[in-house]
Amino acid sequence: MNEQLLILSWLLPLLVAPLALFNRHWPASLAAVPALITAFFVPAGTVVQIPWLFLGSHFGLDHNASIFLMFSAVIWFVAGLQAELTMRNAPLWARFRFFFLLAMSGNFWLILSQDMVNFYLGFSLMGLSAYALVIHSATSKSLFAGRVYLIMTLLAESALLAGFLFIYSHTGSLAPAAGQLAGISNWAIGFLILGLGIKAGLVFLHVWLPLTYTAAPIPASAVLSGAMINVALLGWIRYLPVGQETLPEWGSLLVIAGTASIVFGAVAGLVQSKAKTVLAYSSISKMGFMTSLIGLAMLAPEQSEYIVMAVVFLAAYHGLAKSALFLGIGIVKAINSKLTFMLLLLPALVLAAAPFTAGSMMKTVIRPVIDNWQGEWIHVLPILLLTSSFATAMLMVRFLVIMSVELSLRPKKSFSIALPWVCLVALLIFVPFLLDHSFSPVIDSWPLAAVITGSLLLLYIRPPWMYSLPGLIPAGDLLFPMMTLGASARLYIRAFTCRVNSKIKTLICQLNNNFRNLIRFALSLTGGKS
Amino acid sequence: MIDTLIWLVALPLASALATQLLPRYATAIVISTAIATSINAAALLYAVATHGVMLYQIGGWTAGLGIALRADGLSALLLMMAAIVLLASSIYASAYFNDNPLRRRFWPLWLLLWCSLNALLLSGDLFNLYVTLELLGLSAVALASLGGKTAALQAALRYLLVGLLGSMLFLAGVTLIYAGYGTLDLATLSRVVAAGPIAWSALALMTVGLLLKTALFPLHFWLPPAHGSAPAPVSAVLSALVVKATFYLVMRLWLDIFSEVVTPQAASIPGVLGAAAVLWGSWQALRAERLKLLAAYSTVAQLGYLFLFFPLLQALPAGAARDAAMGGLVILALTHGLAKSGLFLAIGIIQQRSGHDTIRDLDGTAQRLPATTFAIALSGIALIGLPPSGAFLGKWHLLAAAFSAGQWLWVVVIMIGTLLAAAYTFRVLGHAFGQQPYPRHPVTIAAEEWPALILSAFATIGLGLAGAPVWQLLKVSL
Amino acid sequence: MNFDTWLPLFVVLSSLLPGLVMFFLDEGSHRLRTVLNMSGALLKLLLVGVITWGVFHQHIYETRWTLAPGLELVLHADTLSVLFVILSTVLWLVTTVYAIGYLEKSPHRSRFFGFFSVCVSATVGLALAGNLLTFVLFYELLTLATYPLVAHRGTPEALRGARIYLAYTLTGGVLLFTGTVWLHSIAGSIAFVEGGTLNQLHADYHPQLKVIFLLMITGLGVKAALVPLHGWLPQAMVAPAPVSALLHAVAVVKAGAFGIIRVVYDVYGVEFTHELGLLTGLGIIAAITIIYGSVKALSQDNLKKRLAYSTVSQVSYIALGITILGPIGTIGGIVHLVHQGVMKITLFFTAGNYAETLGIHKVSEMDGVGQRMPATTLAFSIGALGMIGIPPVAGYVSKWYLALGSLEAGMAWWVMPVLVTSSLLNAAYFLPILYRAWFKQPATKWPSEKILPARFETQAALLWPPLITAVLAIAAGMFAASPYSPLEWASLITRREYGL
Repeated sequence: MNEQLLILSWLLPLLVAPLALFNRHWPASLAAVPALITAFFVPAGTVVQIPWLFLGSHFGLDHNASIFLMFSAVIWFVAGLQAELTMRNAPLWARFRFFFLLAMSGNFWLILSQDMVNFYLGFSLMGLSAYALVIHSATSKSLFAGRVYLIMTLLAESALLAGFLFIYSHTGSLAPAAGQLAGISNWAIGFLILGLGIKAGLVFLHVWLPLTYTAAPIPASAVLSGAMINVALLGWIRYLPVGQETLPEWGSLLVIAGTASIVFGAVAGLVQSKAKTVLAYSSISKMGFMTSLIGLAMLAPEQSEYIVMAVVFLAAYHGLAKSALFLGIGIVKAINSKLTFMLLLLPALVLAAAPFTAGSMMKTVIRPVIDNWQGEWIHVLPILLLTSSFATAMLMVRFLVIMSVELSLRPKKSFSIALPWVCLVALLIFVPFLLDHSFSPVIDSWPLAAVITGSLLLLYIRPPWMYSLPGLIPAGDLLFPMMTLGASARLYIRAFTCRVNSKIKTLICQLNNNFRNLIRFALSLTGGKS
Repeated sequence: MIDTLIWLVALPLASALATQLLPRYATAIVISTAIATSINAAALLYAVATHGVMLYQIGGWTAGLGIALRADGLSALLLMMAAIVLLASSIYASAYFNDNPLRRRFWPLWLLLWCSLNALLLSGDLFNLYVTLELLGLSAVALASLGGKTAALQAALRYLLVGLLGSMLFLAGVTLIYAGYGTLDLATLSRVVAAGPIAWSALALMTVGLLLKTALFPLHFWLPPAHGSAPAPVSAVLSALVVKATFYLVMRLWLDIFSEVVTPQAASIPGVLGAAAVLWGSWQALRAERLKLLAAYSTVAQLGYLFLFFPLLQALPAGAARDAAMGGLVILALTHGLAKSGLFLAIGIIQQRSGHDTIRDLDGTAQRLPATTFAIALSGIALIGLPPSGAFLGKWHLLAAAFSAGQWLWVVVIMIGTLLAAAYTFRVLGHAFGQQPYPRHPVTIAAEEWPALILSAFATIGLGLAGAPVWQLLKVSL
Repeated sequence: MNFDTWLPLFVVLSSLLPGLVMFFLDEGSHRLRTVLNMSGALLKLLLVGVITWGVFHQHIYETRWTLAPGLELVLHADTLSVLFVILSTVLWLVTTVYAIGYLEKSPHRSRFFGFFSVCVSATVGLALAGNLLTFVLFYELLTLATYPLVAHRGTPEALRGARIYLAYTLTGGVLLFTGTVWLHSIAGSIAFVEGGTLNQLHADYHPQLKVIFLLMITGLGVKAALVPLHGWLPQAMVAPAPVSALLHAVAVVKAGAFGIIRVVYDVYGVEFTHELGLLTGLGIIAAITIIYGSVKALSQDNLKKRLAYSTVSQVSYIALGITILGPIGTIGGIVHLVHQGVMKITLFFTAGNYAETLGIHKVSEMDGVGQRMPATTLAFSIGALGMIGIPPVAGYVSKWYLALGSLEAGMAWWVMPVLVTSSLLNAAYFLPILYRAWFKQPATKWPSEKILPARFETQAALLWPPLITAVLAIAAGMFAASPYSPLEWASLITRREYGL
């Protein structure tokens, strides 16, 4: 039974997807239920082997996968329900739901797969289907975002495939055990970091992320930011030799890139004027933090067990909170009531690590690492933690400020559509009390308090420069200078090839004429008529 | 069994007289003669294959005094080829000349040609060869003039003069031989001939005469107009058989009787001329505006291939490689004979139906006569030398011989020639495709299309896939 | 008379004889022609099934026929030939159904189906060829049989395309022929033997062998459309859709690629080729072709032309696989022979459906066609995704093995970028089509709608073939690891080839 559930988790959404094209009323998001059941009831360690499928398939549920599946399934389920409730009568709903289910299947597939081919398959199924979600509104902005997203996704897939190839050629196994990963080539590590770094929105590779999150419909943004993005972490945990060997260069690279992402996400996010974009930059920032944790694990293999645990925990609570925020945008805009806005505060507080929330558990989770840490990077972790706390807190404030402005703009709808979201928020608030981690002391939340105080101060003073900030950096930031550069390069190359082409053409023309004259001459010798 | 030899000559001759006497039954006589002679030829082929060389002394006189007929593998093969071509062409001609007053003059000449051709292939001494050659030439000229138009008459006249000149040169050579060695019997000659001025000059005279008749470049000038203006079945026989007969003589002389006398330098002369013929003939065929001219120039080119073998055969030591090359030469000649006759017959159908054979305006006709076009395509494949035609095997051995002998130049000539042949063939075939109305049945004129189809198919499929006996038969020689 | 001895011949004849008969059928005898076509195709499938089973169990099937002293026609079934024979037989069956539907009312059907059958017979013949002579024979026959198919429409463009096709392929054929004869004169009869035989020749011959290799690969490269010998392929796309499908998937380009495999593995032997220093050159040409074809495909608005350039690119994967020394790369190359065939035939079928049903010939006319013809567009999407290399469609298997092989052979530094670039380029020219077809709103009127929707979106005979091949493409990818899959069969070939 457990085995069947494992397979059904990803197979059901895949099978239901085409059916959902024909019946628009059937609640297709129920297809996530087997995954939910699997996540909560199937014991970790269950393995299914299907040797005839693809190049030989392994599916299985290890401890990390179980947690990833848990929060991903919840997010997909809730987002799916909300989509059913809010978008059912929108145009192209059937198409949206079709690709929504495909992406869902891909996500579960990848989490449950234990071999690289299936991981890759799920990855590309998820990535490509999400394209259709991004461009759903078919505005020029979303089409542009979709194009950028698609290009980056394809690059990510290629890099991932290359990385997998290197791993396979080193280990000789499609489902390498953690121990086999020691000693894989730098190419493998590089490609994995590149491919999954795109997915994780690592700085410089992140350009697609703000565009996409902004352009996609709310439920799509929720799954993108809550479930799909975390795939990168799962991939890294599974296929990088984390905990197997010390990789100082790669480790420090990840730490530095992660730190840069934290800071950059915060800076660029603060000057955004759209709530979804702010959340997108917050994701970049948060993922940066998790990336640098992975980097630390590569620096200190003996610590990796705790670090990985922290990353998984962080991924889960960030995923849940972030999707709750995204979904909340939709709810608040649709219902326009003080109550929903209050509810929206909750996930924001969780993300900003307010006392007695999951966010404030982070410190205790990471504590053993800090305590046992030896070596040169000893100060890094606390600094990272602090930076991230500040960044997130500031972004949350910015987000709420924007939302409070939008509050008064929208018409009122029935409260019933908010039901799934409310449950999600409730889950986010209450579940931490069931875990055996303890909350950190209230005093540890001082960055949040500082940010709130500062913000209130700013709101009170209202310095004039504050108003020139929004829109300073467009969503997608670095993409635009890069595109300008690319366009001019293309012009230059075209001019160059034109010149070369015309030269070649003249040459061929000349040769042709010469040849023709030669034949004419030969014919005149033989007395034939030309 | 011996009788087959004499009947092969006597039956056509007798029937020629009979058609004159009974013109009303001419067609029936010719067809039955053709069938009987073909059976005869097949019987001879079988006999040669099983019993070896066949000999027949007319009147019991021994060689040197009387007339001897004899057949070895080579002549039996050529006889068979001639029989097939003539049988098919006879059936074709009976439809082609249907209701045409020319028929009365045509049939006797036709059978006379066949008779002299068979006699030539069976003759065992040089004088008889001269006589049959003369006879063959005259009947061929008479047939070629049947076209009736001024151009045809002019061409036939030129053909006549060339033929006479060639025969005279040949006769001069024969005389020299007789003066030098006192015998004209081929078998005897091949034993006694020795290198020396007599042999060289005799060979030179005879060869020039024969080459003139075989239309080897640059002595080919008479061929395109003559073959191009004769009636279709005549063109078929002229191109397929008559030039082959003289080529057969060249082969006998160079490769058999005088093989000891020929030096590599001498052997390279036909080779070079052959190469020039391949290139020039193909090029002219490519530029020809009329189908029949194309076919005629293609004959010039194809004959060139045959002469390419001479330097190679000279260079190869006796043995398996040389035998294989020899077989290649023969199968190339056979394939060309069958394919070219098929081609001319097919062209004749087109010419008759559309009233012209201008390639540019071929569209409608080619599409309304699918079987004819198919025949042209099949014979074209043989002319190019593509598989599964016999010419493929021929060219294979030609190339193989060139590689074995280390004479690389010929390889290039063969490659270019093949491509040119492809170009002129498909220039015609391109017209077979279009949006013209398509007939209900693919075969529209059975009596004319089937002979053309069968001849081409024989060349393209029969000889290619079942050509191995040719090599066996060639081992049977004097 | 032993059945095993004649079986290979029967396989060839099972399509050749119906073809020859069909030439002489009346234009109107539609039913008889269909019966002949289908019974020939099914009979062939049956015979091939028997052969496949036998070859797997090490039976020997061989027909010999002497053409001339030293020249033998040999039809011999080994693992490699069986792979290609199965591919051609199955796809021929599907294509025949498609062609019957496609050419329902058009003229010259007798001629068309006659040559169509001859074309397949030639393909099967060259697949079963047991020596170089036989291969050349069928190779040329294939050229001849395809020319009328390309020229079939008889329009000036069709004639031009056919002329160009012929000029290229015949020149290539002459080169191959010359090389073959040359090789014969050095080494005697050249049978295809796993591992090759030429390494036994004296070192004095090596320079000559190099020239011969060049001649033969140039000759074969024309059909395999290696740059710069590819010029005919985009021109030949004027042919009717079933012909293009067969041309691009099975018959012509594959014949070239198959020939390259034969020459490298079974005549020269891959190690010996490598020793002669010929492998890398071929690999670089293949790599250039892969990139060049993809780049050219980007800018084509004509759908079939875009597919044609895609073929140029994809077929060279096979050549690339051949040049990767080592079993894994070989598997990749050989298995792509099948995978590319199944995927490309799907694409050409669907392109034909668009043209035949709605008059769509250009990519720019495809807006929203997914709504009008969902099943066709679904098949197209599967083919396209497979070409990009997205699992579960078969293409990813080939790419996986090619890349892995290059890693093992230490050639990854240039093979891998080529593969990745090509995949991205494939995505760049296929995904926009999918976007147009599925996501854009359809134009108010199609260019020329010929078949109005009845029960299906188009005629059933046009619809099923692409769906079947699309399913095959997915199955080949999904069940790659199961017995008798193309991948497993390619591994079997490789094991025997390398003597593992």
